[in-house]
Amino acid sequence: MHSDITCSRAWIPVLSKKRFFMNYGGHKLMSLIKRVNLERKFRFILLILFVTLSNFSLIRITKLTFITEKIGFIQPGMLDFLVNLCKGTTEVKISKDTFYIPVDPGFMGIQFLVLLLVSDISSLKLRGNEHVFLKFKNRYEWWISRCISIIVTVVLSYFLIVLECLLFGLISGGGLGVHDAFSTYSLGVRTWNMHGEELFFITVVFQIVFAVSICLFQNMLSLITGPVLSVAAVMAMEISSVFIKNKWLFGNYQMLLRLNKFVGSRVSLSFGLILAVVLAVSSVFFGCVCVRKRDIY
Amino acid sequence: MKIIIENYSKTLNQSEVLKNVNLTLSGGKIYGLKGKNGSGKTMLMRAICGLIVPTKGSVQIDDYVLGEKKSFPDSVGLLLENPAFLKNYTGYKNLKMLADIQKKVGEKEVREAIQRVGLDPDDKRTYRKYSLGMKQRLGIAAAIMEHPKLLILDEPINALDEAGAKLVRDILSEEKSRGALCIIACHDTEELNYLSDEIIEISDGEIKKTYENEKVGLA
Ligand SMILES: Nc1ncnc2c1ncn2[C@@H]1O[C@H](COP(=O)(O)OP(=O)(O)O)[C@@H](O)[C@H]1O
Ligand SMILES: [Mg+2]
Repeated sequence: MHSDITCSRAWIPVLSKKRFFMNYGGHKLMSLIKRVNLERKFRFILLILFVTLSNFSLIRITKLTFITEKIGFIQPGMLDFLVNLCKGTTEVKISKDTFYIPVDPGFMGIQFLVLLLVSDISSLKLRGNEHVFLKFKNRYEWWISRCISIIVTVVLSYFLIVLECLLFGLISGGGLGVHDAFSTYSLGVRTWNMHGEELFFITVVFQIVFAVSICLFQNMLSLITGPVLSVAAVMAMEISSVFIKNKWLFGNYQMLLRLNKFVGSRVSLSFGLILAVVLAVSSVFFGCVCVRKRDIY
Repeated sequence: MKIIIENYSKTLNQSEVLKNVNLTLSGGKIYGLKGKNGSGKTMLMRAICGLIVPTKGSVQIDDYVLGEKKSFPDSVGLLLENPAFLKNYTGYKNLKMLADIQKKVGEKEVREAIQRVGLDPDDKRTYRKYSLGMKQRLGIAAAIMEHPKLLILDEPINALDEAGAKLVRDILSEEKSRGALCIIACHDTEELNYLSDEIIEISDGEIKKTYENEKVGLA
């Protein structure tokens, strides 16, 4: 009886926090997020289609790779699909000092589509949308809520990606896990010394952190250059990181094949994470500065 | 409600679009902005809403100056040229989503506002299929639905038919008697004289003169 009371007491601050959230800006944010994402239906569909194609191609590869061995098919699991989506690409040595970098459409595609999802959240929506803009108390509130809707949109898109890989894993019979033999030989990512949870963190949570950071950066840039140029600039950064191994180029951290966890003597994930957080925070901050004096006409 | 504009100047791309504007506006009145195309009527409206930042001078609304604690007026309804609504949603859904941002008004007021401009809240057509006049009406509905203290309509009767123009007149007189401060721009001098209590003449970004309208068109 006694503990019942303390239990219900403990809930009071939580409930009032929720009410506080809803009263002060929460519904503002919710409706903005709804508004933003309703306009982006088709881009979400594009993303889903892309992931479907990519996952199908993985199933095909699986069959080809293992058909000669008599052990039968190994079907990829959820984590295999996720690893495939963000494995990226790295150089392949042909001889002592010649190598080539195979193109990986999967990685570039996901990056581009996620970027496309959030590309015009800030700048294009100023003109003609003054009546929306004026619903905010001030410019900072508007900017911060834009940033939050970007984060939500990115998380939502990754949620869809994971959901789809989960479905593929279940339907193909590969389950949730990763198949070390498969990921190592087919994808080239050595996963055998990793727990499933760790792999999940790297293929989903860390990818989200990097994607959010890049999208916030693009969003800040689009305040200055407009959405088209800013998407082009960020995409150029991503593409050049395929060919240039440099710890300041973001794409290097997003490709599993280049992480020291998997291949050794490559870029360090923890440094990348620090870089991502710094970029995200400074983008939000510079956005505040930009938006303070911005004319909407 | 009182708006005080002091020494407001705005330079855009080396051209001065507003030159040393001084104005005092008070609630319960309809102000008509008069001037040729490109004289700065829309810019003045953007300035009053805090959408543009002054090069010099300030806009004070009641007891706060725009750009300090608040960037925009507290309670404002705005229609500028071609507002962007969501094309794949009905008029009602569009306004409901806008109203949901602040939650000042609910479903009932949204429906009411749509009816006031002569549209049907249950119309199943999407905004994409609206005619120009219907779009204009929806814009007016969006501006008035939250019963703002400051109502700004830029060329409200531009695309409207005779019946629509009459609706706008009625709406303006209702809003005025509610105590709202209304600012309208209109290039039709006759209509403007009919609608407004006070006329503000503007030319090349400068206020030429302001005068009480002799003809009292609205009760
Ligand atoms: N984006 C812009 N950059 C520079 N000048 C502008 C811009 N938009 C409008 N102007 C100028 O501001 C002046 C006032 O325009 P506006 O307020 O739209 O006139 P109107 O009285 O027809 O509403 C015009 O001379 C126009 O050339
Ligand atoms: Mg104009």
